[in-house]
Amino acid sequence: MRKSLWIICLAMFLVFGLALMAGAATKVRVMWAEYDGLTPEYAANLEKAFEEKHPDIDLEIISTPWNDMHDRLITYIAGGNAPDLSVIGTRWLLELMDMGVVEPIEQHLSPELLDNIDPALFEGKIKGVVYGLPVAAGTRVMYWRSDLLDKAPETFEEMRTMLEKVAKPEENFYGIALTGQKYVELTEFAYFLFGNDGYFFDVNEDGSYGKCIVNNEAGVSTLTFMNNLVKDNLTQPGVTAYKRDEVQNLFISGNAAIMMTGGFGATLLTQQNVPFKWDVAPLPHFEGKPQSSLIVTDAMVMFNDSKAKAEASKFLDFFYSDEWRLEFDKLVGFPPVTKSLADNEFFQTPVYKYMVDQIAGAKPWPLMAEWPECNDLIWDNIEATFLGQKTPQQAMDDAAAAIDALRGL
Amino acid sequence: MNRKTTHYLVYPAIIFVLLVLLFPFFVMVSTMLKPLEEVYSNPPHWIPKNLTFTNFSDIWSKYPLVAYFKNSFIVAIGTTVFNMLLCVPAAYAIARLRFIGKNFMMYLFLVVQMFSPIIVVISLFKIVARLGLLDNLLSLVLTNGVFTLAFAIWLLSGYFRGIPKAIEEAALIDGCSRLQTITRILIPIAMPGLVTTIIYTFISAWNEFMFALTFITSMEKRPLTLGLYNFIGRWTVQWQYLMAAAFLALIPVVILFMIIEKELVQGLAGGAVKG
Amino acid sequence: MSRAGKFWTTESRLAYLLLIPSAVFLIVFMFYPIFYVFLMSLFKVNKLANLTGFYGMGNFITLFKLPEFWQIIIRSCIWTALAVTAKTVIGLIIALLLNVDFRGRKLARTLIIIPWASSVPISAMLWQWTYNNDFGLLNYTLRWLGLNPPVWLAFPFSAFMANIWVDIWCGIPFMALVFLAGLQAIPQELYEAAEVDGATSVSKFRFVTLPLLSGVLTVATLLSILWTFNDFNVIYILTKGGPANSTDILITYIYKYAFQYIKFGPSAAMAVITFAILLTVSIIYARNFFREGAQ
Repeated sequence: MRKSLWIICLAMFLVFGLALMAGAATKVRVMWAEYDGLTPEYAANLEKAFEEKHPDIDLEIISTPWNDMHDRLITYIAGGNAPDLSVIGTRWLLELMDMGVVEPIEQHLSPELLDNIDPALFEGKIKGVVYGLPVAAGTRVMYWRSDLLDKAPETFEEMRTMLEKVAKPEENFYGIALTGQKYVELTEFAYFLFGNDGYFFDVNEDGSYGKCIVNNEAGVSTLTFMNNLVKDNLTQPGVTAYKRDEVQNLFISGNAAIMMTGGFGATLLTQQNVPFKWDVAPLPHFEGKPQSSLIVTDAMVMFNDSKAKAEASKFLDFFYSDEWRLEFDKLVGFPPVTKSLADNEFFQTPVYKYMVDQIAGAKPWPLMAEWPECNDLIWDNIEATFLGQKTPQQAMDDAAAAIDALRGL
Repeated sequence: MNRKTTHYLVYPAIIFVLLVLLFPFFVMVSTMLKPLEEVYSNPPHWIPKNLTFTNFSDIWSKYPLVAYFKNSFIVAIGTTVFNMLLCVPAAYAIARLRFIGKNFMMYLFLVVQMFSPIIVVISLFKIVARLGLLDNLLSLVLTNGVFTLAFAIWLLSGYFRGIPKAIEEAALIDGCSRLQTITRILIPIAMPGLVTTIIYTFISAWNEFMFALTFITSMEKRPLTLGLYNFIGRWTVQWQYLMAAAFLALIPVVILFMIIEKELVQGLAGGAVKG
Repeated sequence: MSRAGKFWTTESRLAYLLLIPSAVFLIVFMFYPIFYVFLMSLFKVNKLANLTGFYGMGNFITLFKLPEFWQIIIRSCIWTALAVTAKTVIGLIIALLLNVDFRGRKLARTLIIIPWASSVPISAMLWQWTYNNDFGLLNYTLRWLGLNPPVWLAFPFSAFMANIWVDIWCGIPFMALVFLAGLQAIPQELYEAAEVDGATSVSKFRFVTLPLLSGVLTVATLLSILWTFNDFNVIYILTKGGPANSTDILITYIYKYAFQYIKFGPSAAMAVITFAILLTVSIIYARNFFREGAQ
């Protein structure tokens, strides 16, 4: 009796093992971001369609909420289980390179795919080699109430004057809705700073970053300007409590005249059928300074531990086909990254137009491994000014000193 | 103070407590019954002008809620069973038996509680991957089980300790086996404590987020806690959907509690104490 | 009896048998991770969480040099002390109330569990929505009552209070339930005997209820201390430690260092410091518990 039991177990084990080996297709794991607007069916359909076309490849799309993307990726990498491909915010690229885990993806991409990408979007190109394939890219724009303002302000000074006329804080109507809570990105400081011809670091000839310059004239006057907006009640009260989505909601509910955010704002405004007239415009700039928006790109990176690089590349070819990219771009609210879709009629609305036009003059986040810590240091000091704990000069001096110390400069 | 006065004080006190504690729950209900246009009205209002249930039908059709519920149940029930199997004997040993190293064991269990999941998640991830349990609900049963085990042992042993040994000793003298004293005497009396431990374990596993996020990768295996994050995006939070889904996620826990609650009421069976 | 004999009594053999399964699982799943945390705190750790060289107290010294580090430790202790006290007191009061036999008690008991029934991240999101100054119903209601509430999450003090309240709110049902179960085990006869002796409600509470509840009280508050000290989700979701670092506690700092800055060394060192603090508290606390157990 016992002996037959063992034989049965052994047989089951063999059959099981054989079954496992028989179905051994190459596995490609893609860490996929849940973009707002992207439906769960999109990823499911993409996976199915790809596997139908390539029956020898087993595609696993690991869907992750955006806000947890970074932390989950770090856990996977540190846990020795990195995926083959992942969507990342390009600002994380240097961090990942510092960990030594990313592959120069361009070696594995088909030339057709590489050629089809708008060259201006290659933020993930480090020292001439592409590490990050652009997935989504957009500049930030200004939304304004066209029923209350005669025109879109071109300069921040002009904006201030216009807001002084329309802001009615007693009636819960605010001039500009501003974020002040430490969030993933340093907006809106970046919007104002870039428009003041400022930046976070000195950029050397070879593209590397020098000292932190947020405490120079541009940085401090920017922060002072923002503080004055708050002090003079041209923003909503309690700025330091507001995250980006809350600022958007304030504009959408009709309580603010201006907000600055990404292209998805238009999607939200349309979705909610707002009863007021609104319009889009490029971000303002300070008088005498060049216009410069913030450009943020997301990229697809390949990990060097991957055992399925060729197959992963096939997935990218599939995903970047017009059919799939068009649906993706329509859903997520970013202008297309592929040249072949640039002239598609869907993207000829003002929102897309301004987002694309601003690309040439826009600046990205600094691409450095220590950026998350620098981001925090600057944000904490900015909040300190909003709370009246420090003056803008003090705050930026402290931030710059801490950042330089951190980077060993 | 006589009975009547006590009663008159209790009612307003309870109502006040419930109003304060359930305040956000009322907010949840108010939001989930509003259509999108009403969610962001400033100033807000409590009663929806256009009461609607479309939020529920929307999330039900767009997302595999049934799968999320099923997965949460598997994890929660699995963890509770696993936990009870291990913790009842362990708590008995600590509360009733003499052995060397008892204090050391207690401290060992306690030490485990001092490390938040965040700190150990990367190493646990390596272990789970090594065991081949990635994207497997069993990984959640085991990790949740382990994390709630220490707490449960402490809790339950505390309850066991609070029950006088006299009853069991009397039964032993009368000829009962040790097992019989446990099942027929100790456990029934300790039922309120047992029930509390069960509820604690179930709720901890039902609501666990960090391990679910780390170990589960496919959409179909997601438990509810992860599923709810579908509504929290990079640009916006869909509050009306989030509230509706969160409300649905509450229901099984509340129902479980309602079923189990009467066990909580049982005091010391009068007969057991006398004599 | 020889020492070996004392070790292997039937009683202790049974005890070890009953404890072995639990111990095994704990060792397999927790021993390696916790051990690795201790290792990381003493080594230089690269961004892949691998050890690259002995560092001794280096990570700890880096932490001690941080200007805000001591503030964060103190704030973590204040956070824990305030929250646990509030949860215990409120939980006990509610348990006493729910112990009285009144009509609708079953409904009240079921409703009490709701704050605990939803997961902490979701509860934190719910409170974020409630605290919102424009769309949140809290400030709306407070203004309707004629009060002038602040924008809760905007200022250091109100943000800290707002965070603590959410932690307390989430923890009250558990405490209430634990105490209620404990109260149930107190025989009615003891109260009746006390009444015969002329005891008032207050002295009944002091001399009957509290002593018999003390075991459960100690365990519940001790575990609540451990839990509350490491309560990450509430603060991270509501304020991320802001504004201007005013709500950062040790666990949010640990998270930042590990997952945002990818500095596992200092993060592990902070975990070890957390452990040291909690262990000290536990030892002092649990001495009461063990002393009783010797009855």
